[in-house]
Amino acid sequence: MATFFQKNKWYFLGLIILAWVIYINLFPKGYIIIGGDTPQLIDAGNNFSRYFFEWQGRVSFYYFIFYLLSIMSISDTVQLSFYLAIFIFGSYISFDIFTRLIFNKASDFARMVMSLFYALNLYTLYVFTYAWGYSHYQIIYIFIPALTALYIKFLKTRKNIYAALFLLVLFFSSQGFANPAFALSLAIFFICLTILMVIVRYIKFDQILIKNILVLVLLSIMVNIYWILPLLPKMNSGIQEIYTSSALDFNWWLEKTANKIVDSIRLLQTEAMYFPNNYPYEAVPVFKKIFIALSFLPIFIVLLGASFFKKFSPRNRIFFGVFSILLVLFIMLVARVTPPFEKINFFVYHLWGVNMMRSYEKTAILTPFIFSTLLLIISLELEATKRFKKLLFALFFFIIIIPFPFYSGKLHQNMGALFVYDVKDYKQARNSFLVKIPDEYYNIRNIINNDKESISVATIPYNMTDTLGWSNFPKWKLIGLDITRLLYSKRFIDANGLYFDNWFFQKDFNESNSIDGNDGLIKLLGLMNAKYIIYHKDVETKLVENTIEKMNFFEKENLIVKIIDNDYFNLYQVKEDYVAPYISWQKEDINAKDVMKNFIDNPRENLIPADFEVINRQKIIVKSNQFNNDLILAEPYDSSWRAYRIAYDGKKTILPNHFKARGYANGWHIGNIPEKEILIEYYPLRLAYFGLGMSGVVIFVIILYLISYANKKNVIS
Amino acid sequence: MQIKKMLLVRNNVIRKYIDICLVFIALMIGTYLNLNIVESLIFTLMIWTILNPLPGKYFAYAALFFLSVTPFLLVLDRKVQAEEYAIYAYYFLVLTVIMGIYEMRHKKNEIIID
Repeated sequence: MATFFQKNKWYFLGLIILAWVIYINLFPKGYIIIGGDTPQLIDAGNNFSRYFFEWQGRVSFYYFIFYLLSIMSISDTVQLSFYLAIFIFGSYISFDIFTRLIFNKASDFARMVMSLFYALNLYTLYVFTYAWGYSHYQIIYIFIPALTALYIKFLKTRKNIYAALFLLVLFFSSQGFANPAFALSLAIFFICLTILMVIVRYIKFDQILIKNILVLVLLSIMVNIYWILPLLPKMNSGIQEIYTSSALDFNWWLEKTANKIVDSIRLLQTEAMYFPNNYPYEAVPVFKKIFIALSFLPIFIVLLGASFFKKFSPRNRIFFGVFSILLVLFIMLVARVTPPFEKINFFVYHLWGVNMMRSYEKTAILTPFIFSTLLLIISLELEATKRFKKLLFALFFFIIIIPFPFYSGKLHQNMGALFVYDVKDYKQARNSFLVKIPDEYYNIRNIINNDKESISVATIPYNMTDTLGWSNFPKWKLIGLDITRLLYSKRFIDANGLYFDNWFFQKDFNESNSIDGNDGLIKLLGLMNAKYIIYHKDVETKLVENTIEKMNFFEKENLIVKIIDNDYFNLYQVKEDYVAPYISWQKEDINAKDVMKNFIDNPRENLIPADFEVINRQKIIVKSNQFNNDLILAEPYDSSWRAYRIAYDGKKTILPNHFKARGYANGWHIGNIPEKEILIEYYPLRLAYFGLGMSGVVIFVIILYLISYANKKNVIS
Repeated sequence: MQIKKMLLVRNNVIRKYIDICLVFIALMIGTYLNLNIVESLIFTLMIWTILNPLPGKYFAYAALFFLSVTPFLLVLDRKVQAEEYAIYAYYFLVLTVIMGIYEMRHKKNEIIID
């Protein structure tokens, strides 16, 4: 045992350093992380199935870890450390695998340092000082080195074992493809890598190579089919929407997120929000300049390596050449429409599909790996010369300490990206990613979650920041998606949600000057199936001042009943007469704007509740014991919702007349033909089940192959 | 023999003239593309390098020079200039890489031990 540790002392030293990073960055009790579009999955025990349906299983394997932690009563705060640990330990191990497979002559020390650099650098610091790291969004980062190593090994040796291992790792990494832009980015990386390896003649170009690549691509698609299939129905419209979306101007976004070359070459995003530009150690300001200078060290060493590139061993020269070209290419892609790439990247990012990669991290996620590989090659060469060994140690030391906040701790207590123009303290700053959901929100769970009806919870007032869907609750410092929705099992009607085309109906309510002029809002929310209303008092004071009188008026008029009143919100129950059922029949469609303007006395009166059975969040059976022209499902309109007529003989036919009802919901013209029942389902979910089955079979075969391979090896040995 | 030598000299002279013409065209293209003087020179250098390959290390030295200046400019809060120098460093990195690959392709009979 002692020999084992002695033999792998550098490897374990790296693990100890990472353990220190986890320890020193423990999060304050009771806090969670939410910011922007990426909330932590809180209460994973109860929300695991919600995420399964919302993401059609695309992230379920990853969150299963947190589901297990949650049912073991490990708090949401402690789970934050698990996010960090999975990411940095995973990255460290993955890069170590890469070096062992591709650069097996690397010394243990160099391997440790470069794996450490891959796990802890300015990019990963960006991931963890923002909210990205505490979700599934960037987990592909962990697997990039292992995937690359197995891919190169397979192409070079042509041994099936590497292909099988590649596919297995790809399956686990596919949880990072919930946003398909990451899959595309990785595909571009592999295409470039393959072409370059052929050009430099590291890989022999022949028919076998083409066949191997084709088979691997096909099997890779099969392994990933479980997330590809559910996306297919909307892939074309989704990509088109990126250009045409009224919520976000594509060209504006490209320009806004353009990354300067001076930042791209040192793994930084061009924003003041990140270290070393956002510098937390105000007592020693001089170090800010030192860290800014140090951030150039990796690219400086790479260039230094390039100057004696000719003296490298032939194999290292090949890899250095290939990865240098990849560096040049990816710096260009990361830069997007910044000079000197405005024209070329404007063209590139307007290509069909490539527009998905419009944000910085989609391409930047690959640059740390490219840098780590180049630095590793240089260290191999320097180690071989012996006289540069001391210099190498010094350089490594400085490279490792560049993301200093990882080692000094309190990543989110004083280093959060939101503190850039504010007090660098999560308790005093106006906004923080580290937030504590007030207990009051937890206390109303029993009221809402114990309600047996299929109803929704609406929030008031509109409090959106300049980004679509982001809430702003300064009282408990949240800025981003409203995480309280994860506390309640009911559907959520977000005050900042865009339910009607280009119409933020709640904004009208805020801006209306008359106290009673907007009592249509309650009727509209009722029509949208809202039984409960959470009226936020934790928003900007002026928003409360603008709306509280109106709420009092509604209460006086008995449109709503106040159940709870506390410092953070009022909980109201909407008058029963106004709450439309989740599924209902209607004779004529109802215009939501007319309801809001109070032109319709009570829209609920014209509805007949449907008799239905909820199978799961995305599958409902409606008993057809009464008919009234149109069947309405109170879910935001999505062409992927489908309704099937099930006849008495069991025959199932799709209902063709799907339309946008009430300005936002799903409706089907049924007519008056008696049927046994109607099945409503979210079609991508069916595709997800089918895809999961297909991917499962492929993975099962791969595992069988690996077992038989291991057995064979054992027999031979 | 002498005629052969004279023809060779003449060919070399013609080649040099063609090179000069191409470099001049490159300068013109640089002006057309609204490149500033440094960028135009780098662009011209790139064309010249394609015609008359130079060892990649010289470009790496140039890249190192520009890169070494960049942190100082950034520390002095001269962000626009820092970005400019970083772009020049990037250009020279591109040239270094191109020449590296060129040299690699022209190194024959190398044994790669895997």
